[in-house]
Amino acid sequence: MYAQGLIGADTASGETAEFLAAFQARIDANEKIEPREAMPEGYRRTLIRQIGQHAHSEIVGMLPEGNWITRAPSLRRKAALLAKVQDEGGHGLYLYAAAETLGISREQMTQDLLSGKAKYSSIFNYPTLSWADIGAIGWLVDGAAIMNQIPLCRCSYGPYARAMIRICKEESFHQRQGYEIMLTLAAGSAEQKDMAQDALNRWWWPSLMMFGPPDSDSQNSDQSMAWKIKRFSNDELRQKFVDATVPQADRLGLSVPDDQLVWNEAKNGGAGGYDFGPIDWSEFWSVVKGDGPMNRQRIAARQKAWDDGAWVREAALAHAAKKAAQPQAAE
Amino acid sequence: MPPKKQLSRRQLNSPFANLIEAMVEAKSKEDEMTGFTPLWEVFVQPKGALAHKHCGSVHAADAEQALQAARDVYARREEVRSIWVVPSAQIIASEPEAAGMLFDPASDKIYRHPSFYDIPDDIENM
Ligand SMILES: [Fe+2]
Ligand SMILES: [Fe+2]
Repeated sequence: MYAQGLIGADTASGETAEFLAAFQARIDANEKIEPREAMPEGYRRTLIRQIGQHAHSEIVGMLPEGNWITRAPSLRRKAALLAKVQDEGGHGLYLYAAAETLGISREQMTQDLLSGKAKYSSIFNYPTLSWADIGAIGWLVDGAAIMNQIPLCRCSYGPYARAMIRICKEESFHQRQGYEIMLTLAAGSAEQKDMAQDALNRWWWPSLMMFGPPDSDSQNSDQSMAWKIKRFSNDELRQKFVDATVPQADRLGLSVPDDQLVWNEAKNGGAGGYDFGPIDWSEFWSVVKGDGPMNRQRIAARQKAWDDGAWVREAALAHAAKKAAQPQAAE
Repeated sequence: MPPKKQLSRRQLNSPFANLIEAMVEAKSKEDEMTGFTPLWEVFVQPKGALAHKHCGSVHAADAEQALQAARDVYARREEVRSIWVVPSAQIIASEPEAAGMLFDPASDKIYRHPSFYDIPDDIENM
């Protein structure tokens, strides 16, 4: 899932004006930038940060859903959820590999996640309290991720764009399986429908926050747009998501928890769109800074996985070294 | 870390000097990375008659585990026929700065293309 509108990027770059202009000319000509080519330090740094955040989000994003694998209500649901969570692990790996082409090691990125230096999407710091949350995550969280990720397939950095193409091909199943869960619950007993509504109530606003801070607060966005790392602003993507998702909620017979939500004919250059209520950005920043409901548990789970896996990594390397040292057996 | 082998560009006065340097550099990078789980490049051949194509990389301690990881990461859905894994440090790539010297000469040899030759329209099967 889920490059959140990038948090805390520093796009400043110290190269000569000529170098930066020549680089910009390549970007403007829609050339892709490849790993060992010359690039401004600010470009490299911004990408390492963004791809790293994105990779960490995929990996941490396995935790809230993994929580329900053993309790899925049928074998069909269990197989689907298992496959989805495995996909998210794969997404993390494609993205770590893309970041590594910029000169940072996997080990370093893992350390940055565990130390809290690197961020991941705020959405994964909310708990999954009921089975309906699995439906809401697939529908809303993967839905928001798709909005975010489709334009990234055209990102100027080749390895990131290629990883995003792979990822986008897999995301559609995630959203559809989630919406199918919501459809089933919404058409079920009164209690099941309440569960679905409760999940929508809790996941709606955090999903809107996934697009990152409002454009008025994202200082480094302009440089990222000029470098074609980012193709749409946070607010543009958020608006697209609301416009696409509200009719899907209507179809479920559920109500979006926003009493200021209203159709506005004049929006989107006359095509129409939804006006929606204000987002609680203080909640967003407190979650990003580590005080969301599940931040500590999420990092603790990643730390445990890293520590528990240490002997496996060491044994595998020792085994490989031993085998490499052995003389080749005679044929 | 063993001392880095020095090969200056003057000693290697050929268009492939960069490639040889890259090879030496890759080797010394490999030595520095001891203790890190090595990186492997993954090439996947789809069913049908297509060639293996680079699709990404994985970390693994040895070749067998690299193949296993590549299967899990890059062949979860696709109709795959075969996978290659190659230690990333063993890949010798042309230098981006050498791209002009290596590849531009091809662009002014239009006589290598069939449309360069004038054949009357009424000649068939050509
Ligand atoms: Fe994902
Ligand atoms: Fe997903």
